[in-house]
Amino acid sequence: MGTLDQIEELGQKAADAVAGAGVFPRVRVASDSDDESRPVYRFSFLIDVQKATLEHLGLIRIRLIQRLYDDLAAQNDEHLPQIRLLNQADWEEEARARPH
Amino acid sequence: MLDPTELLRLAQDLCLHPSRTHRILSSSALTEAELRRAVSTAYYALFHTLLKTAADRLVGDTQQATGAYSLVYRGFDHLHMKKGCEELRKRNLSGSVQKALKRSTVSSDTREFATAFIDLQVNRHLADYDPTEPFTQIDVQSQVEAAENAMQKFVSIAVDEQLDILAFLLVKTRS
Repeated sequence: MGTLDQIEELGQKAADAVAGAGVFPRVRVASDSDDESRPVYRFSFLIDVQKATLEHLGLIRIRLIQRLYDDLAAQNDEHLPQIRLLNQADWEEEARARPH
Repeated sequence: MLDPTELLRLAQDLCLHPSRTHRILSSSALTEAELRRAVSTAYYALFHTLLKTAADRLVGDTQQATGAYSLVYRGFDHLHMKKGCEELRKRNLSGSVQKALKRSTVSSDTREFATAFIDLQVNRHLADYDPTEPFTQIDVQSQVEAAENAMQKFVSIAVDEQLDILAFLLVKTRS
């Protein structure tokens, strides 16, 4: 298990690999647990709506979760990935609501 | 007979209708109720796709009036399906799953379907039971599109693999 900074970096690399560089310019991560008390990372990805192909967001969403799951498993990190895709306004709102 | 694609269309209408999509660039303009119903309905579209495919394949699509059809259709359990999908999305299937399925791997379509099922179920729980969880339009849109994508992937999985998966997600095997 890495530091949250390292997990953020892992998230950014996964996002760039799945969606292309710049589509998700920022990522933040919080460590949490799910309703079965298993560890999870809650990834939030800022989406650049000018660069993103909104029609393919569903496929990008699933491939990004799958990539995060594989990358975490490869590091023997048992956290499960959960993600949120946010536009600029939602990103700023989340930062106010959940300061890191 | 319920058509799962009607559920998908309803979820799309709730968050992707042309009169609403222009608002995607701004902060969430849809109501919490609309966003939450879209999330929940998208999950159920995928859920019922799997149930209908199972009943059609295992009993027969001309047997909808039979008890067997209803029993298979209603025999699925949400939590068991989620646990099964957590196994199916692994890059390397565990030994017990390989033994159960009599196959060492599953296709990338199956892994993506399993990932979508888990993601949508987790969010369905949040949407229906956690009033404090924030939902945003762009995130909900991506979930609805993920449901559509997963439905398409599931029905395109090779029949022999699809049957193995359906049985695996339906039946609770002895460990």
